[in-house]
Formats: sequence, C-alpha cells, structure tokens
Amino acid sequence: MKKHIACILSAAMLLGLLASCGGTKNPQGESGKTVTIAKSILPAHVDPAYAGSADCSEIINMNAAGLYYVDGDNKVQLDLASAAVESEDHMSITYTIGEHYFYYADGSQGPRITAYDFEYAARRAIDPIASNDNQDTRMMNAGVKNARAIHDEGMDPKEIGVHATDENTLVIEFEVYIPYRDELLSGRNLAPQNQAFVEECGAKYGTSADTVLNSGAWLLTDFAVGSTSITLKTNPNFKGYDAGKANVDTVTFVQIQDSQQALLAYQNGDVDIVSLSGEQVVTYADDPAFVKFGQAAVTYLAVNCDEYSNDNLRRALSCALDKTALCDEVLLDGSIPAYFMVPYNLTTDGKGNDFRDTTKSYGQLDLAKAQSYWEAAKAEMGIDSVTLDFLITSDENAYTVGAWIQDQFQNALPGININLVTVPYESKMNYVMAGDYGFSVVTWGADYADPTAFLSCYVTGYPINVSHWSNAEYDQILSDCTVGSMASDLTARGAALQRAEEIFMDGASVIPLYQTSTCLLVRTNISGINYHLCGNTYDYRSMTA
Amino acid sequence: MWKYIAKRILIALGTLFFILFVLFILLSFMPGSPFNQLTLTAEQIAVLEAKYGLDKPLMIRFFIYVKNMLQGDFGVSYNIIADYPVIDLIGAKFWISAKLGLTATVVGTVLGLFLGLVASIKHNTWLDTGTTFLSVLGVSLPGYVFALALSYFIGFKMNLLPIVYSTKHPVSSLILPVLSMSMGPMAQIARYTRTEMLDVLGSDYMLLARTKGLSNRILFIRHALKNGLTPVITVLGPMLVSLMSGSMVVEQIFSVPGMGSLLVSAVQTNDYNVVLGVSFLYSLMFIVSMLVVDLLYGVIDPRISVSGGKKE
Amino acid sequence: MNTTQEDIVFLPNDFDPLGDRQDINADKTFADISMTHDIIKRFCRNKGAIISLAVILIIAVMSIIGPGMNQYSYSEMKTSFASLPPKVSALSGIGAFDGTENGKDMYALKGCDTDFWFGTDPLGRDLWTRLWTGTRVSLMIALIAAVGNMFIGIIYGLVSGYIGGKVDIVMQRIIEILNGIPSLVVMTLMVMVMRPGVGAIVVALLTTGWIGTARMVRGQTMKIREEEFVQASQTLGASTFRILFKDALPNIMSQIITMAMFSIPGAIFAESFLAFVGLGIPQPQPSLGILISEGYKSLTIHPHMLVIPVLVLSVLMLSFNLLADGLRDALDPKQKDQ
Repeated sequence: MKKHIACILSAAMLLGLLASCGGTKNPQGESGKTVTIAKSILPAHVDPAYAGSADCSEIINMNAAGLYYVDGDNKVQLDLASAAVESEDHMSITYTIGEHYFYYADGSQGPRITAYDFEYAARRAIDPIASNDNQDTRMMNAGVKNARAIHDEGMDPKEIGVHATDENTLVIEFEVYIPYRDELLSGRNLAPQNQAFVEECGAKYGTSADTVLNSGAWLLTDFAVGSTSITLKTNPNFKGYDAGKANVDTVTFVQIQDSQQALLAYQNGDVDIVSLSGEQVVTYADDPAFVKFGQAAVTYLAVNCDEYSNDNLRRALSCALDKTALCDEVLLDGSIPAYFMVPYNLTTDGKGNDFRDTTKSYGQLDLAKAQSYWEAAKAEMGIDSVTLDFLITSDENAYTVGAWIQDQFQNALPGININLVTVPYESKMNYVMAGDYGFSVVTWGADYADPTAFLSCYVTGYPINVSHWSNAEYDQILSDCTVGSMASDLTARGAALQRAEEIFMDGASVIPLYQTSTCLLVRTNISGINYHLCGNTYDYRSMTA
Repeated sequence: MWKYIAKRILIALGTLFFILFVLFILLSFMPGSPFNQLTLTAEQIAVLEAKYGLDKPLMIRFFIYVKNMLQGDFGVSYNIIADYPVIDLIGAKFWISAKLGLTATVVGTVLGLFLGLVASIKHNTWLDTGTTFLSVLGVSLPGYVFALALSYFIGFKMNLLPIVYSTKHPVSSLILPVLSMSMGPMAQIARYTRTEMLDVLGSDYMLLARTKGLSNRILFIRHALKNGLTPVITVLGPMLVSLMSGSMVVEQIFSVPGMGSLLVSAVQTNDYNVVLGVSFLYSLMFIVSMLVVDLLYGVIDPRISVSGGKKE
Repeated sequence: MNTTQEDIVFLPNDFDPLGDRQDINADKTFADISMTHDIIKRFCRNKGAIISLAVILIIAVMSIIGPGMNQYSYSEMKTSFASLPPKVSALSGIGAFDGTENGKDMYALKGCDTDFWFGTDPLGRDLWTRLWTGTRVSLMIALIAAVGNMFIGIIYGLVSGYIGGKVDIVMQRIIEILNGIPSLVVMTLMVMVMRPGVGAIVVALLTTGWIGTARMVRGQTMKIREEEFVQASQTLGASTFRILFKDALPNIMSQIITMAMFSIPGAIFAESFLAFVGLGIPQPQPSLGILISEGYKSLTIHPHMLVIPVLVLSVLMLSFNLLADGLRDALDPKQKDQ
C-alpha cells in the first residue's frame, strides 16, 4: 500500500513540476514594446568585416551604421556623414564626419566616430586576412581606387583609396565612375570601427555585447556565443538618417532551426515575425499577417562546363523544364519562374523601363526543341545515353526541387539519366568549388541594383562562375560596362548588357529556375519594416508596433 | 593501486594521441577546404590557408597541433566563428549539453531505478509486465520519436511547455528535451535493475538472511539493494558521457545550441580544429568515465581487485 | 520433481515385499529431444517473441510485395496531386483514411479520383509505395550491416582472444582507439568522404559496429581456450584453425546471434539518424530515415507523412528487440533475464 502511495505522490510531484514550469512560460517583466523575430540561424559574430553573409548583415545593419543608408523607397541617403562633396571629374568624394557622432555600448557613450574609423574599416574589409572568407567586393565594384588590385593581385590593403585627412574629413578616390556606387558603399562592412577597440578585443571582437561598439540605431544588449537569442534596444542618441523613427524598444531574435517549430512558436504567441516556407505559404496566404515580397535573387542550375562541354546537351536541358509547374506545384512559396538571369524589378534598361520588360526571355518550356537539341548533342558526342551527376543539398527546397528536376529531365529526354548526390547544405560548396559536380542548384542574390550584380559573375575565371563557362565577347562587354568605356553611359550600357545576357543564356551554362520570393507572417500591429530587393533584405530602423 | 591508476592514465594518453592521429587522417580525406565562399578566388584561399597553417604537410600540422595542445591551445575555429578560440567555443556550447545530459541521466536513473525496483518486487504481476513493456519501448525507440511526440502533443496541441529551447526560460524549455533524452537511460536502467534485483532476491544468501528472521525492510535495503544496484554503476558512466555529448536530433528538434549540432556543422564545414577539439573532449570524457567506473567498482565491490586486472 | 515432507504419506502396503513386481525399477524414459527442438520449444513459449517474429515477417513480406500492390512507383511524380491525405475508399466511414484534411475532401479539391492509401508526399509520390520500398532499403542496410559486423567481430575476436599475448594487446588498443572516437564523428566523416549513398552508409555502420561482437567473442574465446575439451583437441593435434572454428565458435554462436539481432535496431536507427543530418541515401530512393526526415518537414500541416513511417520504424525496432530477447532466452537459458 505504501508503495502505491509513493507512486501516486511521485507522479503528482512530477506533474506539479511540469505545471509550475509551464506557468513561467511568458514572463511579462520587460517594459516597452517588444518584437520577437524567429530566425533559422543566428550569427555567431557581428564583426562588420564579415558582413557579407546574410545572417550577420541583418544584425549588423541594426547595430552599425555607415556612410550611407538605403531608405524605404530604395533611395540612398547620407547616414553618419553630414555632407558629401563630389569632385567635378567624379573621381573623388569628400565626406564631412560631424563631431556629434559617437559609439555607444549598452547604456554608456563610447569614443567619437572619426574619419579614421572609416578608413580603418575599409582596410579591414578589403584585407583578406582580417575579413577571413568575406573579403569585400563592393568597393571593387564601386570603382574605389586600388580595390581591384588588392582583391585580384594581392596589393597591400593599406593602399585602398579611402583616406582620412583629419578627424572630420574622409576622402574616397575612384578609378572609374560607377553611377550606382553610393548604394555599393552603403554596405555595412564599411561601418566605422575604432582601431584601438578592435585591437584590444582581438579574436573576440564582435562576438558578444561587450566586444561591440554600436554605431547604429540599435544597441546590442544581449549577445553571446552559444546563446539562442539576440536582443537589441533602440539607441536614443543615434544621430543618423531617420533616427528616432522606430517606436519599438526591444527587438529580440530567437533561433528556431526548423520552420515547422518556428510556425508553432508563432501560433503559440512566442514570436511575432516568422518566415514561411513551401506549403506553409499556401496555408497562410489569406492570413492578414501574411507578407510577401520579391527578392533580387535567382536560383539556377549551374552546369559544370568542364564535365558537360557540349553546348547542345546543356541547351536541351535548359528548355526541358516546366518552370511554371515548379513554382506553382512544387515550391508553392510564391516564387516566379525565371526565364532570365537578371531578375524583375532590379534595375532599368537605362531608358527608364524595367530591364526585363525590354529584354527577351530564355529557356521557355519547349519539349520539341529540347528533343532536337538532344538529338544534335547525341550526334556530336557519338552517344545514345548519358548519366549526369546532380549535386543537391538536403535542406528543404533543394531536396524537393532536386527530385522533381530529376523526374522532369528523365521523362522529357529519354537517354538522359540523372544521378542525384545529396550532401548537407554546409558542405555543398566544398564539392562545387572543387569542380567535383555535374550540375547543382545555386542561388545568387544581388548586392546592388544593377544587371552586373548578376552578369559580372560569369566572366571567365571569376570565382562565382562555377560552371567554368567562357566567352570572349561576353567578357569584353562586361569589362566595358564595369571598368571601361561604357561604365558611365547608361543608355549604351543597358543595351550592351541586354546583349550580354543573350550571349550568356545561349551558352546555357546555367539554367535559371526561379526568382525567389520571401513570405512572412508579421503580426498586424507591426509596420514600418523595409524589405529590400537586394543587399540587406530586412531593415528595422523605422519599425513601429 | 596507484601504480595501476598511473598505468591506466598512461595508456589513456596514448590512446588519445592515436585518436587524434586517426581523426587527422580522416579529416584530410574530406572534400574541399574550410573556405568555401563562392566569391573566393584561388589566391584568396591560398592566403587563408597560409594564415591558418593549412598549407603545411599533414604530419607537420599534426605535430604542431599536438605541441600547441599540450600548451592548452586548441587552435581557432575557421568558419563557425572565424578566429574564435576553439576552447572558448566549446566552453560556450558544452555547458548546455552537459546540463541537458546530466539532468537526463539523473531523471532517467531515478525513474529507471524506481521502475526496476517496482518490477522486481512485484515480480510476475501486472506492474511487472507494465514496467517491462515500458522499458522495452524505451530501449527500442530512438529518442527523437519521443521528442517528436512530446513536442507535437505537449508543446503544440496542449501548449503546456515551450517547444523551443531559449536561454530566457532555461528550466521550462529544457523539460521536453530532457524527458525525451531520458527515456532511453530510464529503460536501460530499469531493465538492468530488474534483472540484477531478481538475481539477488533469488539468491541463497537472501534465503539465509530471511531464515535468520531479518525484517523485510532490513533485508531489502541492507542486502538486496546494495548488491543488486552495484552493477548499475557500470552502465552509468558511458551513459552519462554519451548523453552529455549531445543528441544531435533532439537538439535539432528543440533548437538546443549544444555540442551535437556544433560537431555536425563543424564536420560539414571542414572546421578541422573544432572537430578535433570536440572529439578530443568526448574521448577524454569517455576514457575518464571508464577509469572512474572501474575504480568505483573496486571500492564498492571488494571481491573485485582492481589492480589485479579484471577480465571482461 | 522436488518432494517435500508433506508429500510423503505412508501407506499400509509400503512395507510389503515386492514379490514379482519387476517394473518398479524401470526408469521413466524421456523422449529423445534434440537441442534445436528444445530451443524452438523454449522460444515458442515466449509470446512476445512469437508476435514480434510475426510482425517482422509481415513487415518484411510487405516490403517485398507492398510496392507492387498498386499502380504507382516510388519515384513517379504527379505534382498536381501533391500532399494528399490517406484514402482507402473501402474503409470510408471509419473516420480515417477518407481523404479529408481539416474537414475538407482534398481529393475532390485536387480533382483526383484514384486512391492513395497512405496519401502522397509534397511531390505527389505515392507514400504507400515509398513506405514499403523504404522499409526494404532500411532492412537491407540493417541486415547487411549486422551480418558484416558479425563476421568482422567474430574473426577479430577469435584471433585476438585465441592467440593472445602481444597480438591481443595491439588488437585491443586498436579497438580502444576506434571506440574512443565518437561514433557520430566516425559515421559522418565516413559518409562525407565517400559521398552519401547506400554503400557509404553500410561502410560507416561497419566501421565501428563490430567492436561489441569482437569484445564478446574475445572474452568467450579466452574462457574456452582454457577449457578441457579444447585442450583435449589440442593434444590430439588439431590445428588452430580447426580449434577456432570447430570447437570455439559453435560454443559462442548463440551469443553472437543474439548480439547480431540486437544490433539490427541499432543499424536502423543509425540510418535514420544519418538521414536526419542530411547524409541519407540520395533521392529519389526512400528509406525509413529519409521518409521520417521528409515527413518531419510537414509535421504541422500533414502529420500523416511523419506518423506512418515513424510507426513502422518504431514497430520494427520494438519487434527486433523483443525477438532478440526471446532468442537469447531460448538459445541460452543460463543468460535468461528471469
């Protein structure tokens, strides 16, 4: 009998423990308005020199500010500089850094932000050793003096054309005039950094709230290695553009790796903003909290031209896919079928129209054409059938898309067999960069609003050109449009780049699949978040709740 | 005794050395390099490899690593947190896995002992059948089945407990992961306890004690428990280590930033120093726990002479 | 057989002379029962093990004939019929398998007039066919790994235990080193190096899986080496090989078989773990692990995609454990866990 009582007692205690813990679930201790955002991955560091990766840049964009800020209308505004004077030949800009800009740690004011801090930041960003594997390409694309030589030829990073003449004056020199360079220079890897502080922190710089100096509209208050959340508070002393527009006091990012669990957390009320994937989009499309925006990112199949050098084989593949079915029946997340490399809404053709509206589309589904290309390829290669290695990752989209593409190719082109190789997301690039793949799914997002953000990736020898495709005419056009004669002639440039895209698509070294859309659930009381097409996707500077 | 311990420690050190060597060789077969940003040119990769000394031959790298390690320097991470010391990185992740594993072991052991004792005392009753069934279930099913079931029903449908680990609610958000991780050890301990206890309860010396007229309580606590539970210690050590090393899948389901996910992402991103550091820690814990169990066993059960070398 | 004092009752004729009653000394003769028969009898007494064996057989048979029971193949896609719930028209009316989800008839909505017994996945592949094909793949991986581990373990353990001395010490150190590396690391590294696939997974399972068997075989061999029957055959001039395989091995075979049986659920689990980490077998081939990690991605919207493979995996692992328990008790009553 005693034993039974003991049983019941211990069971009751266990239940009591569970219940009491359940009660502490939502402590309402924090005052002010709080927004909680679910992210599948949180950055482990917020060193601006690494701002290249998307998960880092979202946080760095909040706690750091730079010379420029891209506002809600995608207009570039001066941020931590009170004035910018461009020289008459466009080859240099002189910035005045006001004396009223300071760094802030949580609650206290730090040192002044000086022009030297910008100079130091530019050197770190372009230094392959300091920036680790995120060496800056934006300054190179913006035509900053010596950036290309440092990047491509290993020149000393100190030679970068960003110099402070005194504490208040910063001069940036350029090699070539690029019309959209302000936007490129808005990247957060150029956010000012205090040399003394960076050197004092050493390897731990940017890995915790104590090893960060905030220059932006938000203060990092809770951030540490191994934590599952990052908390930022508004910086009441921020003096940059749109300062004080947000009325949210605290933003908390919580890490929820799995999209299912993230959605459950949203339904439970634990988080306010959650991104949706796949079928979740269909289920919530009519929800008032549903938000959808397009991104300047294209997902494509990169075909290894060293492995599959026959043009007609690749062309056959490029028109054998029903991309509409892919978007509407497989992805379901609102992505748009891509018959192009330069996406919609990114840029104009130089005459005021959307680049896409005046350009052809490529790779429409045409099974008869695919078949004739395949016949031609068979004749040229002297084969009846071929097995192609398709490298995919095991994350949600790529996995499903991979299986679907395999099915499409094998059904549309008898004789083509697809051998799927699945590897974890993190290790896919190891195989791709080693050239150890047949074809693979790659997503590329634009850093800046210009066709060259996509097209310059495929010039001969460029690292992102994992297809190893090469075309002399294409290389020439891109060179003219980025550093050469047409770099500042917008009309001629637009036409030339349209021609370049045509050459590129005809080479079929990549097969575009879709232009990515992002779908979110954002509680209806939250507004003022800016969703940018390219560069940093989310901007919370003017968020209200 | 001390000589025996010293010998064991020496052997353990040798084993650790070879473990590191085997891992070094395995890692050198991994495709690619730690630096796999699409924008990197071959020259930049070469610069980065030189920065971390990865351009040197395998054997030299191995000896440099061992030399640094002996001075307490486990190197830096390449890309999980670039340039961050591995020891601090592991330090940040380890305590959460350790906390989770330790709690799961304690909960599992307590529940397991309880179930095992109940089953052995109420031998051949429905209680025995019930607990046996429960323990077979626990031994058979992987922890993630419990994790999925708990997070769906208790976390989502009933909304009783958080389904996502959060440093803000360190207690309530750990209950579900702990419960799902403790099912295995619970079942294992329950089975073990039941078998051992039945063995002891049916033994001749228990019969003798009973005939001597000892009360049931003294009989049970003094004689049966002590002898019956000693073998349970042998399973506890390795169990604790394997639980503390983190369950990758349970961590993923509950978003726990622990050692399991650290190790898997380190392996997948070729972050060699992190892989080596984590593996080294596991091996060390494993070897130490085996040693401690052996020594403890000698203390508890004097029939086994430790220094005489116990045969398996 | 025990006679206690109460059983003995003295009868009046107990002390009478026996006379010519010759049969009184005759021993009762037991039927000649072979060892195999004995084992089978003992095994059949264990209800749990019998049921488990039946369940395993049913699942195994289903994994062979199941994929052929309808018109679909495991890789055939109909994206317009994606993510359908289970439907079996013959069972309509019982509240499940009626093709509805949240009260809506998804089959009518998507214009599908054929049944998918276990529904379809997000690519419109038939889950019934995928489930049984996947079960077959998982079972094959587990069986190959179990048999392989058994062979490696036996040979390693026999050599190490019988030869002894320096060889034994070196071989034991090798085991210690392999055992010291976390199996998670070994498995992921092996699969990554060889690229994910059935072969890579089997090799990964073989890398460390044999250690338990090897240890047990070594221990038993060392014990048997000292026994008289082995010494007898040594004196008679039997070769080491003969002693190992004819004398030592049969004596420990029952334990090895039990151990191999226990390792099958472990291998099934390891495969599902690798699939969860993204190192499973490549598309479009299914395995239980692949189906579970695929289904997990739709847990909140289409729970059936996860529940069915998890159930099969659980039942399979449970049955193998119970069967192994029963086998152990039947083969080796001394070891019985009472």
